[in-house]
Amino acid sequence: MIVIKHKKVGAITYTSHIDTMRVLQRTLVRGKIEVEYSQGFNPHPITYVALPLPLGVASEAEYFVIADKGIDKFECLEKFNANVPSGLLGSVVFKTPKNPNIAGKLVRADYIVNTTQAFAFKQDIEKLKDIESYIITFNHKNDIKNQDIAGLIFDLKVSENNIFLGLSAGNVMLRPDRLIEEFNKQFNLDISISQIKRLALYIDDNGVTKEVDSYLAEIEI
Amino acid sequence: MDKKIQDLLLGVEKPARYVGGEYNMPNMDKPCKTRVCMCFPEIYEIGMSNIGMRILYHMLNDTDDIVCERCFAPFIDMGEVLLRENISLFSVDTHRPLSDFDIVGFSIGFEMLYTNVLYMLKLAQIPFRSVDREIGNYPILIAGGPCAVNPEPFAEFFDAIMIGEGEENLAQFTSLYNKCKEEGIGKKEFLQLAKNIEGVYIPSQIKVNYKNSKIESIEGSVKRAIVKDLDNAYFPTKILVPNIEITHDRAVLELYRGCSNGCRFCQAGFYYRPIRSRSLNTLLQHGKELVEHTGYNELSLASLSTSDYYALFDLIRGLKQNVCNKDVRLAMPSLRLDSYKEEFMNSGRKGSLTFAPEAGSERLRQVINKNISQTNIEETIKSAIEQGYNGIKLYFMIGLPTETQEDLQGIVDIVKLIRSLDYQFGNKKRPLNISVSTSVFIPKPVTPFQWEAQISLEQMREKQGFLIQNLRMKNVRYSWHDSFTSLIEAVLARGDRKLSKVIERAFELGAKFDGWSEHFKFAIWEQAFNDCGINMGQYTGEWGEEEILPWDFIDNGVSKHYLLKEKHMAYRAQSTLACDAKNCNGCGANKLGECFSLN
Repeated sequence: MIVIKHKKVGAITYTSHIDTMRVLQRTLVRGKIEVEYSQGFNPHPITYVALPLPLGVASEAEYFVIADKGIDKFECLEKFNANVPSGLLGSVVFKTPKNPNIAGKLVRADYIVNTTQAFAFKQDIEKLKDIESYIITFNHKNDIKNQDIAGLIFDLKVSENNIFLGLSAGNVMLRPDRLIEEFNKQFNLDISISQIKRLALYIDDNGVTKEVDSYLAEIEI
Repeated sequence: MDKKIQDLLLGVEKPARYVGGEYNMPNMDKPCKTRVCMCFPEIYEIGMSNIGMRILYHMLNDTDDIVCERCFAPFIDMGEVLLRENISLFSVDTHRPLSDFDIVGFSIGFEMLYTNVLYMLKLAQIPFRSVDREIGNYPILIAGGPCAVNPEPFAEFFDAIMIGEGEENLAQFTSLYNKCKEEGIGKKEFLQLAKNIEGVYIPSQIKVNYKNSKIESIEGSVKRAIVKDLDNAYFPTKILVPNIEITHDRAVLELYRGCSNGCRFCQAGFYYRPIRSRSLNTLLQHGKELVEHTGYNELSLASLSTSDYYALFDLIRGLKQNVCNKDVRLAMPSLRLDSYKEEFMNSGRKGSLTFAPEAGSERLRQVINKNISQTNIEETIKSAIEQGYNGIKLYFMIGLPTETQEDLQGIVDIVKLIRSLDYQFGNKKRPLNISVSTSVFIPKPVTPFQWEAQISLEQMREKQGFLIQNLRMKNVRYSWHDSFTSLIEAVLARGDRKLSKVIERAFELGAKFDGWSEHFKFAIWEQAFNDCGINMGQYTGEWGEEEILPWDFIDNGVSKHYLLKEKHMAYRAQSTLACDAKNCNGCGANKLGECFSLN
């Protein structure tokens, strides 16, 4: 398996997760990167993505996993970058013996939110990290849902120009856009979702939390 | 991108429609003298599927000193946001306001999009009429596309209109603009010079004289521009690959232009003559490059009648061997079933066969010159059944010239025939699904039927009612085009300059996205016509053969004399055989360029 770490920035942040998958798959076709296909009536290329990104959120840490047919990893990255829209450029590439199953092992995602509005409420915002119980409400598929965010914020630092977030991901997910919408409601702010950027993803490897890049480097062939 | 716009985009449906960033986007930062914005008055998904837009966008970007961007009609939610927030309509590629461009061009493919042109100009904060832009630093506004066959209803909105094919004359127009800009030559003088480029129509320079509401004379003329050598004409293969799904999300090869069949209702068949093809080798090369540069997994063939391409089977064979493989499917066009060869059939389950007799009786088909005999129909259906198609889609028109009740009954009889053949030869456990669709005949400019009347709303309802009643059979589904839309389309198709104020009034009253059934409101148009004191019937009634038609000042190649001759043949129910390299019917199109040069 080849894993390409790539970004998602610029105009393409407005492309949904499913459409982005199609863009990535077309990139493989253009680059003539041979991929294994699934069996069955409607065969499709075997590819995986670590964690879908909400619409409008940018990222420096997206992972595209390809069931390759033996291509050299650097050649793969080169062909990928020559054929991908510029907003999805790849930065690092790994070759692993099998599907690293990043999605299944995920525990945390870090984000930076570009804003000067939060600093005035720094103390109150940062208190939410260790709160015992706090219910947020949001719209999901025309339905109103509740989520208790207690214990789901691993890190929360407000500075003059941004907010740093380390949030639960994987089985129990706290989406950054929902948290920012809550800040906007509570503190009467106007922070845009488009100012959020994912910085890193972490997995659990037998009880040890590791950044995905480090984990992949360890298990690489 | 402006932060304000970034924020607002998340509140609208499919924000990707407005932001660009597609693969194969040309370099927007290259040094340039002229910046052009090509506009298509429909949403992104529809505009990006248009081959004309594709060709012109890439052609201009491949020209030194010119950068071309795109703009599509913002959907209603986005339009409301732009108005509310006072944000000027911007281009997709660099999010630049339309008013910042040197030239803004509209490609107009359908009469029901005229109000969307005004919608986009309003959002761009650009005055609608050319005369209102004389003072102020506004871009040059031009239009082109299929509706330029009769540009009169929208002529007053534009500084110049490109009549015919834009590949060559648009390049000349922008090149002249560059030169004039460098030399400090102003807009008025520039347009005066541009008039000399073939196909360029400057509306302010053509004078239309009326007498008793009819056109008495038109001073001036314009010759339609064509690309004489289509085989070597510009065709982009490094085309934009959208990030979201668009209406026609596939690579498309343009095989040839014009049509030799001469169906008398068909505007495109006559308007795009002379018949010029791309050669087999050129198409194979284009196909290979398109697939390589885009990664599309489907390649389709586009022309008015693909069965008539001179080297069709060699092309299909060549594409299947060298271009299409397990990853790239060749989307087979609807071919005449008598031309089908086993080796070209896609394996797998067959869907529906599309078949367009257009008229229910052999007599009426001869009138319209769609030469399909009763025997042809039977053979086609039997063949479809044998090949395992599970459905037939039939297309007809109602309200054709000389139509009688017998002709309508003919539609019902064809459906009964299909059911009977299916019962005899088909799979009784899985009977054929038959779908019948009727549109209303619309008399179109540059056709032998351009003088004909359109039937009234009442007649449309009666005929549709008859078919609803009589097509009530198991496994048969009947659908019909909306009568009110057909009426407005007919009025605009044969309209003159007086209609520009109606279009403006309709837009003021709220008309936009008129091509969408859920947004079209006939009552608005009715009121607009009343407010302007214009009677729709003037445009839908029968016109005298000696009358001057609003588009008569355009030399289209195909002569009015030939169209009149064809009209008389129609009334005698006499057909005209399709033309070919050896048999010319003398339509006049070869005055503009050579037909069948490759055959």
